Amino acid sequence: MKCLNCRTNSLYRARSGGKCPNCKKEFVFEPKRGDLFTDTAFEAALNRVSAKNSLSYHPRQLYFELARRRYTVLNKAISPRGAVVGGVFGGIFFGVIFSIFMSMLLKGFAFWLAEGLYVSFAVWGLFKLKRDTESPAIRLDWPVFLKHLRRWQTIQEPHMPLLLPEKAEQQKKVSKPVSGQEKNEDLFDYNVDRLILCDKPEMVDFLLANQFHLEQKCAILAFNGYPRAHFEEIKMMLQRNPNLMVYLIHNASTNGCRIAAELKRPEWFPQARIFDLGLYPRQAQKFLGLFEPANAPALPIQGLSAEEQTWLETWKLDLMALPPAALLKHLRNQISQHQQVIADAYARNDDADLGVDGFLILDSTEGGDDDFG
Amino acid sequence: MTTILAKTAAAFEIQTQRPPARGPLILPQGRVRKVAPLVGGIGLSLEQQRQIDAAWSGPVQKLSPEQALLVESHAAYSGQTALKSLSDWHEVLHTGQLATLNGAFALAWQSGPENLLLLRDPMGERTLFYAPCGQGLIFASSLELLIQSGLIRRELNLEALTRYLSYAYLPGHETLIQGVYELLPGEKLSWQAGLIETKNYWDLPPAEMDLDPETARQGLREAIEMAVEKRLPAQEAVCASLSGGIDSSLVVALLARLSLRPVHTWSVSFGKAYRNELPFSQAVAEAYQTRHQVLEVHPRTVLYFLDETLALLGNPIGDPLTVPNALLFRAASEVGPVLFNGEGGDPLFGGPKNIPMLLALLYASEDADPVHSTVQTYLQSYRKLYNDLPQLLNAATQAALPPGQLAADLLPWFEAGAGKSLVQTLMTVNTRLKGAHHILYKVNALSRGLGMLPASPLFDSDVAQWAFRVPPQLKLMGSEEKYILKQAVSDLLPEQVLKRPKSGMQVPVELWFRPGGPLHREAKKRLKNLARYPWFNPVYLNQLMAWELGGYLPRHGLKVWILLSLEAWLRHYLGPP
Repeated sequence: MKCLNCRTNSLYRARSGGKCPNCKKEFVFEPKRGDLFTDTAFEAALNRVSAKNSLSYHPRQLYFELARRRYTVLNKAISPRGAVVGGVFGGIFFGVIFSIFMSMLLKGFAFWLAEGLYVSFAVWGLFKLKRDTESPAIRLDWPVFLKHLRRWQTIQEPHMPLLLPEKAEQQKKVSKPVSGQEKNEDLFDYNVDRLILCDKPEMVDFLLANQFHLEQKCAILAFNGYPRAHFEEIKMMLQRNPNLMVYLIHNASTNGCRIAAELKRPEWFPQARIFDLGLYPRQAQKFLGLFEPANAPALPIQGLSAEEQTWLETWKLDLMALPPAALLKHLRNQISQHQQVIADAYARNDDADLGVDGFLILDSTEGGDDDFG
Repeated sequence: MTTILAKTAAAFEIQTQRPPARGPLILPQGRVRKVAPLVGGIGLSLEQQRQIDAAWSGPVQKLSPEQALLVESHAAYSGQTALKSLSDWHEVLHTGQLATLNGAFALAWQSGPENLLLLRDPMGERTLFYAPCGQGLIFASSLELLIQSGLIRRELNLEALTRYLSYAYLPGHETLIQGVYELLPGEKLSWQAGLIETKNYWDLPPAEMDLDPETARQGLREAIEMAVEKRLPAQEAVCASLSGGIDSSLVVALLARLSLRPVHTWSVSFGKAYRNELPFSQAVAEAYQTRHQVLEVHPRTVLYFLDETLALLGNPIGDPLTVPNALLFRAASEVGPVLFNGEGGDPLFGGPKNIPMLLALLYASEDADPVHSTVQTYLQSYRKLYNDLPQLLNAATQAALPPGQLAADLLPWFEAGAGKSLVQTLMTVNTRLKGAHHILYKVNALSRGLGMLPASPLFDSDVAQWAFRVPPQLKLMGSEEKYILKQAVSDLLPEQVLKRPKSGMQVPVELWFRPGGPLHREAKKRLKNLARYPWFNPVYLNQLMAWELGGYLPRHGLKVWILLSLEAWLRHYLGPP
């Protein structure tokens, strides 16, 4: 295992007391004693979610990143060709050794008995492995992840400035302004043309922390009334805007997929144009190994196929499963491209199709950055 | 208009000019401004006086016992009276009615052997630099001329360097050279027997919340028409840049209406590969029957003229439009002496910076001090190198800088606006900082070098006064920017232009400089040279050129451009590393 401090590789027996034999730095994790990750794997996951320490991220995003790595590792462990070759040679080897020892006792049957035993074990093992690897369910428990994270914070990195609080409500507390500090009198007299509406408050925190609202000139709110500080004022401000465009982002879950219909109700934005950029069950195949069990009763949702409805009865997929950089880039591209579509259509005097080419996909393309502001 | 928008590309023939990347920027037979720049000194030793007399030859107005009043002006007025002769100016100075001054000017007046007065116009359309020299003082219209005196030690001002990197221009008194200062717009400097005193003689008015919208609309309209008329050339053809946005379109519309001579217009494009706003500018050109040309500026041309453009500028401006602007002045100089522009609409009437600032405050933590968080957000809203300073500057440079200076520069502006209107405060800061030190500074410096006069009627001080008197809610109406301006010119511009959505026309620096881009290799070479100056961290510069800064929107291209402009400036003004 590699030391994070001096990058020296060491064997388990050399790591006496869980310390690096070269620089004596304590290892955070020890897979030989049951930890799920090595220090370097955890560090690599952190690097990815924080885009090399340049983006704020939510613990859930780190959780899904580690789960994705674990899923890949487990799946990689089984190569079909390797399993066949290994299985055949292992079987012959086991049979020969077993029959040498047992030949006195069981005469000519020893080899076949050994092979029989071997095949039954192998078939049982294969079934278990197949069930494990084919299941799309996440195979990292949240408490186990938290234990790993706490340990990392204790030993390696006590201060993680880019890590957002686990619960959004903890972050924003409404408190009285300190005397002498006055807010500008006209803060709510103006308006913005775009709102990102999230189904979860944690997503609001994530977008705000990365200044998405400033870059894209949009308000950001959560469906449950977050952030609490100015939620009603911002909502009322947006309701006054006849040109409001709402970009909705949500989990692939019963609650998430229902929001689009709710937004047309009079207490939300009946006049606004709503664009659904959220996750739907049809995108779930790209996120195998990251499904969580559904936690809300299934309800019929307009526009979903029977297959998708069934999926929602069993599973949910969190938007946090997308790596932060990819999520931000995708949202930005969707919104900027939409603005360009509107501008180009206007220049052509054509107002036919101004919709967004919706839905989130896990795209890894690096292009499309045409914001030179 | 609708049909024009749809059919323009096919029906309207546009001439395209492509300036080649060769030869000097300033052509030998080029135009020269009729009014020469100012230079002079007071309280100097005999040796110093002899040195500047020898250094400042050529077409300059030099302070001397025979010439005690120097004025460099264009369309200058006192109230409604045009100031055409030196005696007109003498009268204003003797009566002390400085607050009534309007138009573009820089002025130096030696009223006695031990008294000098320097004045810069209210909005910052002309410039005046000065440097204390022992007990005395020298001044000049441009940084280049001041350095030519031979009395300036060329040492870098580190604090000013961090300002340039954060704003991409220099937002205050200090220049990048130690001990050299710029007079602020609307400021007068008195030198009296070795003592320097500076004071504002002109300020922007506060908003009048009960101002009737119709009165505001009419007053504004009259002020804009007057501002355009004042700047029209007497005999020659009229030239204007035309981006296709509301501001330049309304100026062109008024020119077409007020001028008896044909109007020539120019738009800039960066080639077919990049987004442009040509359909809009062409539609306006067609509607007003201007003689329209598209200046197609290719990436290599931009880099080729960078060095000369930065030399012309004096203070560096890290705006990728500097070279296209210079080429536009050059193209127009073949037609007429004045090039109109639509600059000023954004800072004065509620342009694009307001909404992100508004959002930042809506979402600011309740516990944060509003003034301090506004200052921080304002610095970040420029999206230049403010956040990158700890990585870009090396440890020694950072240690030499006083902490918190950039925020301290801005605090007075935002403290004055605490608890009042956010939009009005932002407009004040934007007009006084970006308007004066970036926009007006740039057009003045470049046009001077190319023998032209810039005309920015929307930055006229009467227009600015109307803009500031209008309640901020009539400027940013909901989410609609520049509402009152649009109302004031609604009869001039077709609805389709007034209501057009924002489009993404920008200089494609991201595509030019990225690895594999047409200017990547040359930029890398120049930034290697920048790394040889003693203030920077080469690791950061390497990461930048490798496109590896990380973060949500790293804006590599823009940062490369700001640093390339700085490198060109350092080479010209301070010498090689």
